[in-house]
Amino acid sequence: MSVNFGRVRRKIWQDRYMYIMVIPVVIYFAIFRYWPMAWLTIAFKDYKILKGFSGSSWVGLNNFQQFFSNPDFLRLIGNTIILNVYSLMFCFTAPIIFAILLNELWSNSYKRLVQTISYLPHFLSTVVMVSMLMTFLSPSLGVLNKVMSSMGMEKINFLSEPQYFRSIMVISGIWQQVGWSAIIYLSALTGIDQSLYEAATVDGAGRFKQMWHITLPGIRDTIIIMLIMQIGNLMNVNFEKIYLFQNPLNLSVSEMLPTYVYKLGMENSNYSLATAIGLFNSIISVFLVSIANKISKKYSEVAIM
Amino acid sequence: MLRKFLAGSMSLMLVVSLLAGCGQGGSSASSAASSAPASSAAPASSAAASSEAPVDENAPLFAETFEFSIMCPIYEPHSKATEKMEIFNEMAARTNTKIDYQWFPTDGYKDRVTTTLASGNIPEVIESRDSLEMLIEQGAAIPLDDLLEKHGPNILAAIDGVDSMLRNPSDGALYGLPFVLDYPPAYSMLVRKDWLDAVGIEKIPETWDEWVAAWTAFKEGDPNGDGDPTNDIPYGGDIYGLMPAFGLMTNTGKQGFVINADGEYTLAYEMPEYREYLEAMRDLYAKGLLDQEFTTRGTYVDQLKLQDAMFAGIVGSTMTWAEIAKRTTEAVREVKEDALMVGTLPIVGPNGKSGVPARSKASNQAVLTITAEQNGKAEGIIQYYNWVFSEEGTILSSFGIEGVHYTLVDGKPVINAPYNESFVNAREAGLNFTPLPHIFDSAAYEQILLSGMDYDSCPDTTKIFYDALHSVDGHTYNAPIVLTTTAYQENQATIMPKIETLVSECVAGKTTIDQFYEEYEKLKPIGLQAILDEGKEAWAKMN
Repeated sequence: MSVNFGRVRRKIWQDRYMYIMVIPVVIYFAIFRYWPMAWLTIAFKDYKILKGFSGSSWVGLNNFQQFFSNPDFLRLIGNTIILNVYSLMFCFTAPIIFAILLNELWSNSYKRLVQTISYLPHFLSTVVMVSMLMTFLSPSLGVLNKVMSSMGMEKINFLSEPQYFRSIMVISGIWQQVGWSAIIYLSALTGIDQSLYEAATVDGAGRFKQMWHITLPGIRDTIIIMLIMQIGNLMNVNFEKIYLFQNPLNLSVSEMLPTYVYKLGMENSNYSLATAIGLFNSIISVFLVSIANKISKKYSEVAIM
Repeated sequence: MLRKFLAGSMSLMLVVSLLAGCGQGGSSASSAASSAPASSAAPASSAAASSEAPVDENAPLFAETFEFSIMCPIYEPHSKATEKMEIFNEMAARTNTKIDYQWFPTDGYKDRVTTTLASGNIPEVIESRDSLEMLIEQGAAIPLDDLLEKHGPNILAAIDGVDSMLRNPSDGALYGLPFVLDYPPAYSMLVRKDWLDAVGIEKIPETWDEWVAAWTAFKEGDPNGDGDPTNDIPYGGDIYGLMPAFGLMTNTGKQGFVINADGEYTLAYEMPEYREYLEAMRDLYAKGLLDQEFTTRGTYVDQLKLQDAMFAGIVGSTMTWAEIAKRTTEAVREVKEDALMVGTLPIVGPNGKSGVPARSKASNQAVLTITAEQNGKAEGIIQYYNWVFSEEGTILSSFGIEGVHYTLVDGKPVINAPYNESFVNAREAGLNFTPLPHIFDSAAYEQILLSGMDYDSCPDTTKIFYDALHSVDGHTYNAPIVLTTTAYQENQATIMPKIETLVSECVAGKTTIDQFYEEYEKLKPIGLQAILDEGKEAWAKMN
């Protein structure tokens, strides 16, 4: 098959502004996502910073063996996946529900007000957010425990009880991200043909039926794409938040792959083992995304690859 | 047309901002050299004043301007000193040096050191307190013994008698340029005297039983008088400060290293006394006498969180920096006029043991890197710091510039107001600039401590601090340092948090004491035993 270069050139010239707009993204991915992949060889070496790649000795799969034989291996994977499944169940669905509810509001000004307020927590830095939550939940200085105490309830040390850790992560995650994450669904909602709602109203469909039969199917493709991407993140967590919330009493549930990698890499200076764990994490993520993509393609014909 | 222009300029902006993000962050400040023009980095040996020519006492240390770079963290209130650079510039002028100071925020500084090494653009000196082991292990820090022997007599004199504590356990070499303050008292057991009065206890508790009785009274009453009997914390902060009362004279930190009865370096968990201590802590926690947040705030856990609780007037007693007695009293008096936190004797434990860790006379502060060696500047840098550790350098570091920061009275330097009014004022001016190696003269420390007055003329709150500091005179012990052996370096980030978790779970009643020891023993084959063995061997060599 011969390539018509003249036609390609014309096409590129025709869409030149689109290509210009895409350049920063390409540069970003090339520098920050693909170029660092060259350093993955660290996982197969006993890497010493000052010796560099060539000077560090080759150790093959030793770092991977060390990780798999680590007594914490299963606990780390388990903690990471469980928290992410919770997030998938609650943090992923909350913006969809929020966007649909927002879409049902009649008053545009009220809708905009709610939307703006819901965005605000997204702009708080993780450190500030964690600090606020820690103060809020403290049994001695926190408002929540003061309220509980005034109602005659026992004070609870939420931050030191492992059973509350995941709930705190999920609830704070919803609070911080629900408004921001709902934007994509709100934009998908605007693409639904309004005549469908008019026809449904004429046919006697109530608000709930309209939502079920028109709104949800209308944003289904967006939901599926977001879900596939979310599944790809099943082995990742909000590192900063988890790390800041860690304490000796919740470590049994709060130690996860990214925090462990940080401790090994940055605190123990064991860069090779940390990279090996990171690489393992990435491979699992790619595998998960591929599976989700295939399933989605098979049943809904929506896919990202 | 407008669309094209907008698209083009937006793309340009995005590319520029993206690339700008790739640039190096942080800031740097250079001290001004003397009038001599800056030359390129001349070999220190040739530039040094130690030539055979007649010595001119007023001549600067270096004949030609000597340049080097230093990376260090900056934190309040020291950052103010870097705005005026008054004392730094004076040091530069007197020595004919030009130092490129690269300041970085304390938060994330340790990571910054790691990434700086990875970048390959390594300064000649790195402040290394939290990264010393890593810098040695990675081969970035150079041993200083020979250099100090030749060019650093003042530095060696300053650490005489404590140098063994500063040596690297793996090879016995000195890597760090030190910070020295010979003023042992630092910590104290503190108690709210007004709380004791409120619950009808006249005598300040001394024995374990008396303390438990006082804590119980705090718990049962509402000593802070805010109408909420549930928010009074009898003993605030972490559990490590109570270890000496049980004969566990640990290092100043949460690692739990001690010297046992046979003079061996080990962990407190290996000591028979530890079981009794654990039982006592569990009992205190179960009765609500111990801070329910002991894992997240304390002297060795998160000092600021402990301070927040103390300043909020909800902590009855704790073991922490003596200075906090003064600051707590001042903070709480804003809402409760009779508030008074005082220093006491350390708790005498059930077996008559007691003690408070003394301030270490010296600590490793900064290392010379291989860059200094490669650039032939190592000798010059040691000569410079030898000057910093001289009498002249010590006066400049501790008292400042004559006529500006201090006045000579009977031949002795006396710090002027407002620099002597508080440690904050002093540090803002650049006195006792702790991010960098130097000697902080104990006389300067005491002058600032007493706000430039004699004891009798001091305000009450200053007396509170002074009394708290000296309440432990005769009861301090020299805590062992953490020996950063190879095994410790390789395993500490994974083993130590596990031990902390085991201890915390046991104290909080989630596991039994037997379970604690069972789980503790399981850590030995995966690195703990190596930490113990290498530490013991290193200590024996050092002593």
